[in-house]
Amino acid sequence: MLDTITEKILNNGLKVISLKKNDTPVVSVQVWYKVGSLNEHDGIRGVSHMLEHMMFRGSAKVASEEHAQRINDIGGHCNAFTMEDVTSYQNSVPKEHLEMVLELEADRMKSLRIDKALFDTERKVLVEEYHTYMNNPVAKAFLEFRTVFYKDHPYQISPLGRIEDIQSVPETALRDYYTRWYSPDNAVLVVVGDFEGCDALLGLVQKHFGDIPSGNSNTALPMIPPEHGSVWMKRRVDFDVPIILVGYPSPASASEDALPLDILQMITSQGETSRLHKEIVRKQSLAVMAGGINHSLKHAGMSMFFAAFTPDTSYKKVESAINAQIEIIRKNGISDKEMERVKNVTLTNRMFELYSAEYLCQRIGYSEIVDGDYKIWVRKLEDLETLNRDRLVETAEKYWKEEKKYTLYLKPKKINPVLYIVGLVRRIMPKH
Amino acid sequence: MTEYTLKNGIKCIWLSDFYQPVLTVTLQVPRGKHCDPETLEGTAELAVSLMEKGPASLSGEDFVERLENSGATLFADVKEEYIIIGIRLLQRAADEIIPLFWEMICSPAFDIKEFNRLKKEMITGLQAEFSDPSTLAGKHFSAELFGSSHPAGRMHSIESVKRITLQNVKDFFTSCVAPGGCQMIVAGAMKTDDMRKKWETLFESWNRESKEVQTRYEPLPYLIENRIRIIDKSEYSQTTLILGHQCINELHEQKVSLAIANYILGAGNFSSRLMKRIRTEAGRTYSIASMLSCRKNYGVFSIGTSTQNNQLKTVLNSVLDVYNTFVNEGATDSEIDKAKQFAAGNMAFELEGLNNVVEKLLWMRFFGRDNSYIESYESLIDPVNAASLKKALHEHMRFTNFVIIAVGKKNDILDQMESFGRVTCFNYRSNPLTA
Repeated sequence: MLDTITEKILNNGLKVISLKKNDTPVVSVQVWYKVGSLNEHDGIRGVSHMLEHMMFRGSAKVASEEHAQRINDIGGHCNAFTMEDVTSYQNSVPKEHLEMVLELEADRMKSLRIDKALFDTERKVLVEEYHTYMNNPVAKAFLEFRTVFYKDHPYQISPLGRIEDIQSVPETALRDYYTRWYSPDNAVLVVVGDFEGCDALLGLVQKHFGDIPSGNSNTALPMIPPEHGSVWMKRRVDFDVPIILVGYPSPASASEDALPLDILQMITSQGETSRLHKEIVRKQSLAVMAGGINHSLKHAGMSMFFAAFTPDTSYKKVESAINAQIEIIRKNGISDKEMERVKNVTLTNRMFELYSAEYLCQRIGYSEIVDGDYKIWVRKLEDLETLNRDRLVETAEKYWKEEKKYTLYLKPKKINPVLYIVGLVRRIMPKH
Repeated sequence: MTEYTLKNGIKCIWLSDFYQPVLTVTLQVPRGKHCDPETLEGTAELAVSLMEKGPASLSGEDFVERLENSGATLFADVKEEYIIIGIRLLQRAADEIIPLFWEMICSPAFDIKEFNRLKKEMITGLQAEFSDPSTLAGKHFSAELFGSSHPAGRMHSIESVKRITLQNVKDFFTSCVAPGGCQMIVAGAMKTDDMRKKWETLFESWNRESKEVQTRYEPLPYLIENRIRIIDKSEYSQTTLILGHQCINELHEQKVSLAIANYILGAGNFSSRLMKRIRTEAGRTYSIASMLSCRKNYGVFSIGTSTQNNQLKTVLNSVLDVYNTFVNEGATDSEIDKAKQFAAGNMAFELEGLNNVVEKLLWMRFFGRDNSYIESYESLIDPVNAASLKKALHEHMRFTNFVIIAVGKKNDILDQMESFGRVTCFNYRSNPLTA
């Protein structure tokens, strides 16, 4: 099915990727702008996210919040999010409303209004969102961790931005940012679902987006890879469960090493058959849960492992156990059985993903911008077939290096004494 | 699609869908959290988690390896009134995996080591919830609204989970997880006749009597004053708020009218009155929504939001003003038309993909609805008009008193909350029922 994806670039530079899928009478329309917190600097940290909010506050033909209301009113839903490399606008509607969505998205691409009074109100919303996030002690500690991990790199500051900038950035800065980055040649339009046909779709896209002039956004930022050394951090947090997080620098998502590292990550840390779960949770009973993910961005990433454990367990033991599992994979690699499992799990996931127009739209858009080409995601299953175990060992050796390891230990501020004693007694008592 | 009852009482739907070479088997057991024995809340969840560790013939580790090696994934969800247990797999793995899944359902291992591990995991999860203001607010809301005499007021706590033994879990399984009254859907890339031929005998091999479950509860007393709790979290700069009251059940004849009303008031995202007033116009929250949660025998209406501590009173006053105006005056024709269009249009998304179709069918059958519910859905919502909506609001939503829960810094918000009535303060670690 994915081999029927088509792509076309309009004269103004807008790239249109579409996939016809008519098992359900719905269509998803997403616009992905190649801009995110990566493009910010001190003084406007958080501006990409602020602009994302203002994109719902009206344009030439659309009143404030009318975009979302019109989508809701016909049974659809819409949302948006801002990441380091990209800002994405997502709409899913019953198929007969496709043109309405294209018109709405085109209008805000060409004629966003940034009204000061509305912006001042929206700024308050953004401050509320910031506080909601910061009331989560683990998320807050992780933000601090990433500033150390990505020191002096644009990924250092999350898309949430800095509160002082959110409170002070003028609306003129938003206008400038919009003018610079929100042009058709810096965007990708993805449409998946039950539309008439590619020609008809392109006709509609041309009708609504065709007259929007190209911009002059220079997306090719000079990018210096982040410098990494080994760091060990401990933070006391208002969270009752101790956590150890280990992070290694990982490659840009378009790198040839990205897929092998993803596979290694699955085998090591994802699911109940993963090495970490089997060893640290089941066999050694050191942690209550253990997992990991390769958080891969356009220019750099973090291969992460974490474990949550009870306060009566020594964090040193947990940390050593994680390191030991990584070391075993680095030295001995993985088994054929593990490789087979990864292929089958990936295949099953892919089969079920194909049912959702919105999910497909999202995967295509994300891969097109962050990986640089949506086909990287499309051919993942084929690429998996050609990966061999030696390649995985090489990748583990290359990225999971002791001298580049970052560790964060989150220690609860207060230990619940009852739970501590219960945990201790359980540990001392003979096991069944 | 074919549908009939197996010899052991399972109502089974066989559904062919050749869109992708996959299959799902999903079992809905009509007993859930509400069947937890008193003081042992959490038993249903532990029982299902333990079932997922596999049948007696295999170790937990071997079981999960066999599933994952073939790419299969188990899933489970323990709701108040029912349990869902299912598996998703590649069609080519069906012969190996479906009998294994069924063996897990019929004769789970209930291994003591797995039990101890899962119990520890559950307690740790409950500890982590102390840092989640929405979860804290939700638990205190249910406890205050329903109290300990109603199953919806009793929720699992560290204390209750610590009390649960393996025998309690086995007893729950024996009495509650039985074929009688279960619904099951086998769906995916096979002809229905082939599915039946292959697995009907297997599915009928499960035989066990289940116990009678009490599903009728005494109606809650009307709230004669605001019942307000502050859950003190001294580190928080923002307060999380939930307020609400009892409401109608899912099968009530005015459910459709109230669902439309709920959309207009607070469930309709940026089309809702609450979102417009509190976020769009005043910028005082990032998120606000209302929810109508209807079960077989009771229902709850609630509004949830968060705001910085220093503006809590202003926000709560605005929320109550929006609520009162709406309940007293009702909605406009235009608002009702849009809400109806949303409900009609959204049905396509509720039926997008195999998983959604299975979920919707099971939900419908649980409430005794056949497929005509989907086919005639528009005619179900079409009669709702300004008069019927107002009538429903007046009969079931005109509350002057609420249960109000605020999770935030007590020193910053106590004075503000006291202007709405008498406030009881709780430490965030307190058990919502026993503190």
